[in-house]
Amino acid sequence: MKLPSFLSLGVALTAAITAFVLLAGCGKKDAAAGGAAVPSTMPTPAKPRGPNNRLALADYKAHPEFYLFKTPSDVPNDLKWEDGAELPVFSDPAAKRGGTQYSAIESFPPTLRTVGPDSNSSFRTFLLDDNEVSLIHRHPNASGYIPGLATAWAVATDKQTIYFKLDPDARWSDGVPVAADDFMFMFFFYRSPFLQAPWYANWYTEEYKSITKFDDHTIAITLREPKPDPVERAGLRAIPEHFYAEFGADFPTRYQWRVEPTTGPYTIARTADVENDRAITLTRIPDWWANGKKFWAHRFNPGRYVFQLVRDRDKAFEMFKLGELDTFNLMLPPRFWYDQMNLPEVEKGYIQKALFYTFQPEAPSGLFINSGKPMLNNRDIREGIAFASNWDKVIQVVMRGDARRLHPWADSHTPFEHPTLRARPYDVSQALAAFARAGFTTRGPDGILRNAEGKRLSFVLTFGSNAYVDIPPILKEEAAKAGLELQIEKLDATAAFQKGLQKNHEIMLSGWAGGAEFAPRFHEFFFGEDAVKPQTNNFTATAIPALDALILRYDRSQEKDEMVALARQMIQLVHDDSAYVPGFVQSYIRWGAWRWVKFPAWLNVREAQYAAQYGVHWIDEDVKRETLAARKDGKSFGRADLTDTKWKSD
Amino acid sequence: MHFTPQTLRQLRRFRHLRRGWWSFLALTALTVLALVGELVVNNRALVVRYQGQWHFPTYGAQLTGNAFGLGYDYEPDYRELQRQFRTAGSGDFVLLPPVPYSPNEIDVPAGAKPTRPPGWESRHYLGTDTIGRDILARLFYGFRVALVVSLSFLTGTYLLGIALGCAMGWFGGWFDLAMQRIIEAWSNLPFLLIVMIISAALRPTQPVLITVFIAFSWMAMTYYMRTGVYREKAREYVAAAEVLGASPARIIFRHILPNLLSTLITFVPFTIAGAIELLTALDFLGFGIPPPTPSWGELLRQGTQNLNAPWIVTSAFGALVLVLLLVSFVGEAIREAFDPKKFTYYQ
Repeated sequence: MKLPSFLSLGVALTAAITAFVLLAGCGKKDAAAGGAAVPSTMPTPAKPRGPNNRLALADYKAHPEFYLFKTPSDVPNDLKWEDGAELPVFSDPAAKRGGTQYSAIESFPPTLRTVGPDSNSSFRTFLLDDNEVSLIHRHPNASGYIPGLATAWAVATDKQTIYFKLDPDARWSDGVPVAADDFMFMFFFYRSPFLQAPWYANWYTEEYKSITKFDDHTIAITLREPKPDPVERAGLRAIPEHFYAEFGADFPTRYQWRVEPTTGPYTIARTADVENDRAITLTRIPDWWANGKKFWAHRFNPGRYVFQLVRDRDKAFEMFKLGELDTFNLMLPPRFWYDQMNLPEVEKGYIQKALFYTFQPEAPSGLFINSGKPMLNNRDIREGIAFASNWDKVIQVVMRGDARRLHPWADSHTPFEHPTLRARPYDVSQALAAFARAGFTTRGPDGILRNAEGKRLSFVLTFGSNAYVDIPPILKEEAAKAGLELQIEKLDATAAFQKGLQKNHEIMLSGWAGGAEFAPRFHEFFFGEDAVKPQTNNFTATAIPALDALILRYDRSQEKDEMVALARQMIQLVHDDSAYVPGFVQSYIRWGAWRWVKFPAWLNVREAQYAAQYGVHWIDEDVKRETLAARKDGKSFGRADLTDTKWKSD
Repeated sequence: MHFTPQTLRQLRRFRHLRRGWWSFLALTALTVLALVGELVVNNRALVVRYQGQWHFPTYGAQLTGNAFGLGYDYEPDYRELQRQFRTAGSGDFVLLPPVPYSPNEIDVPAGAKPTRPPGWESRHYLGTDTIGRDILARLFYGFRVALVVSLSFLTGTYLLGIALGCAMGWFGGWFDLAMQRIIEAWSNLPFLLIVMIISAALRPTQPVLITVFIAFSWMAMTYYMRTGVYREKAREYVAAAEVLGASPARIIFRHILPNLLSTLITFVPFTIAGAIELLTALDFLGFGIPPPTPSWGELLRQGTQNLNAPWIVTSAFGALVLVLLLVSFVGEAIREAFDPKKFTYYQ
C-alpha cells in the first residue's frame, strides 16, 4: 500500500480512500523478496500443517471452476521461467543484526487483524504491507520482479495464467511451512463474507478466474482478463490456513487481537508486547526463513521495533531530541526540517539529517473540477481556473519551496508519462482571457468577474484532509486576482470523499493513493460512463467520447508500446479538458536519525516512501554507546548530513 | 428613554464600581474600533493621491492596479504603491491604515519564512502565522467575528428563552409540564457532538453556526424566567392588572418582565463570554467557521502546534484572556450593581 504523495506527509487518509488504496495495492505489493540463489540456512524443522479447513474444502467443492486441482505433469513444458536473479541486490552486507529501534505511532491500532472492520489503520503497514512476503515483489531500484514466496514464475502465452514455484524453505512465523494450500485458502478467505470486507470479496472474484494447485509447491493463478502486467497482479500473499481453524461468522471479534503468523521478518512475539494504548513491540523472528535469500539477506536488521503511542508530533519530536526515539520523519510540516532541526545535537553529529530523492510514479493530486456542474461544464472556465491556481505560491509558502509541480497525468510513470506536457502555470492574464471567452468580462465591486446576466464567477472548493488546511486560503487569495472566487468548504475527510463519489462537489482538493504499478490508470478516473454514476472515482465527471475510445483500447492492449502511445494521447486529452489541475509533489523522503542508525552508502531505495520501509538500515550498538558517551562529555563528531540525489528528476 | 429612579441608582452604582466601569469602557472602545475596522486594520489604503486625483479605496468598489499605473487588473498592493511613490518623489502619496494588512492576505516575501516574528520593520506588530498572514489583523477581525456571533447568540437565546420561559410560568399546567419534559430531553443531546457532525457534513457558515448554537442553548434561560414568572404571578399587582382586563402578553411583557430584568442583565456578560469560549473551542477543534475566516480558536491551534513560533500562541492567548477578563469584570460589576440586597430591606 502506498500513501498519496501529498499525503505521504504522514497524513491521515479516509477509510473510503483506503478502499481505493487497497485496490491499488492488492496483488502488487512492493517490497523486495528473496530468491533461491544464495544457499539458505535451513530454519528449524517444520511443524505439521494440520488438516485442511472444512469450510474451505466445501468451498473448493462448490466452485470447481475456480479451485482447480491438477498434477505436476499438467504444468506446460514450454514455460519460460524467471527468477529475478539478474537483478542487483540493494541491501548492505555490512549491516549488523540486532538492537532495538524505538519509534512512535500516532494512534493505537483498533485491531491486530489485517483484514476486516477497522483493520486499515496505519499500523497495518508494519504488520502486513511492509512486512509480509508475497509470491514476488517489485524490485525497488530497477524494473523487474524479485522472488518472495516463489522462487520462480512464468507467464503463459495467454498472458492470463501465471505459474509459480513456491520456495520450500518458506515458513510461517510459527514454524509451519508455507504450501500451495495457503494460496487456495487465501482465495477462500478473501472471498468469504465472514471477513465483512466486501471490497476483497469483489476484487478476488472479479479480477481472478481461478487458482490451480499442481503439488504442494507449484501453483498457477489465472486472471479473468489478459493483462500487460500479469505477474504483478498475480503476485499475491498467502494466508495461513492452519491459523484460521476457527474461521467463521464471528471472524472480526474472534480474531480481533490474535496475531496472525507471518511470512515476514517481524511479528508480535508475546501477548505482553501489546500494551494497550501505550506501545507495541515487534520482534524479529530469530531464524527467519528468508535470512539467506539473495534479496532478503542483510535487511530488516533491528532485533526489535518498539512503537510507542505518542499522539502529538511535537512531543514525539522532543522525545527524538532526547534520544528516546531513534528516527523522526521530517517530511511535513517543513518547520521540522528547517527550523526545529537547528540543534546542537545535529551540529555535533549525534543526529543526522537525511534527504533522499525517490523516483516512482506519482499519484494524482490537486484540484478535481466537476465538469458536470453548471458553468464548470464550460471548458474555458475550467482552463481559467487552472490558470488562476497559484500552486507555485502554495509550494513557496506551505512547502518552503521543497516540492515541484505535478505533471498533467501519470507523472514519473516511466515510460507512460508525457515527455513534454506540463501543467498550466499561474497566469492572471491567461486566466482572464479564458474567463472572458466564457463571457465573464467585467469585475464587480468585489473584484470578482461577472457575466452579462450578472452571475458571479464563484465556486465551492471542498477538501477533507487536515493536511491540506493551509492550501485553500492561498489558492483563494491568488484566484481573486484573476476575478475568481473560491468558497472554502472544509469537511470531515470521509464526508468530503463521499461528496466526491456522489459528484456533488464543484471543485475538490484531493489526493489519490497510488504507487508503483505497471501502468497508469485512466479508466477509473476518466471513463465517460462513470461520470454520472455515484460511487465512482471519476471526480471530474469527465465524459469525452474520444477519450473513452482510447481508454477501452488501452484497457484491452497487451502491447506495452501501444499502451505508451495511447497513454500519451490520453494525457494530452485530459490536459486539454482541464478538469484536473495538478497540484504538487514531494519526490523525496527526508528524516532525522541518531547516528547509531546506520544506512547503506546508497542510503535507501528508489521507491522508498519512508526511511525504514525496505529495512536496509541497521542499529549499531557500539556507535550508540560511543554517541551517548560523547553526548555526556559534549564531544563533537562534526555535522554529518546525508543527501542522495541519484534518483532526482527535474 | 425613561428610567425608574431605581434603575438610575443601579446605573450610578455600576459607574462607581471602577474596575467594571473601566472594563465596560474598554470593551465599548474595542467594539467601536471593530465596527470601523477597515479604517484601522486593512491592506487597502485610506487615501491615495495619484496624479492630482484623490482616491479613498477603503470602502466601495475594488480599484485595480491599472488605476495607479501598475499595469495589472486586480487589487493593487498599496504597500508596494507607497514604496514606489516615495522613491519617485512626485508628490503622489499613499496613506495606509496603522496595520496595513488584511486578515486573509498572505505576505511571504521571496526567500522568507512564512512564519515571521513580530517586527516594526515588517509592520507585522504581532508577527505572522504559519502561512504568512498578519496575526494582529487576524486577531482584530477574529474579535469582530466573535462579537457578531456572541451578540447574535445572546439575542437568539434570550428571545427564545424568555418567550418560552414566561409562557411556561404564566400558563403553567400541562403546557409547563410538556415543555419541561421537552427541555429535559433536548438538554440531553450532546451539543458539541452535534455541532461537530453538522460542521463536518456541511459548510458551517456563520448563520448556520449561530442557529445551531441557539438551538441547543435556549433552555437555560427558560427555567429562570419560568420561576420568576411563577413568583411574580402571585403578587397583587399582577392580580390588579388581570382585574383591569390586561391580556397575558401585556401583563408578562409590561408588568412582570421589568421586574425580572435585573436577573436577566446579570447573565448577559457571562452569556457573551460563554459564546466566545464556545466559538473559540470549536474553531480550535477545527469544527467552527470554515477557513479562511479569521478566528481565535484557529490561531490558538496553530500556536499550540507551532510552539517554536511562540508569538502565535501568546498573541491569541493574550487576546482571549484580555477580552474574557474584561467581560467578566463587567459582569461582576453588573451583578453587584443590580444586587437587590443593596436596596431592599427585609423587616
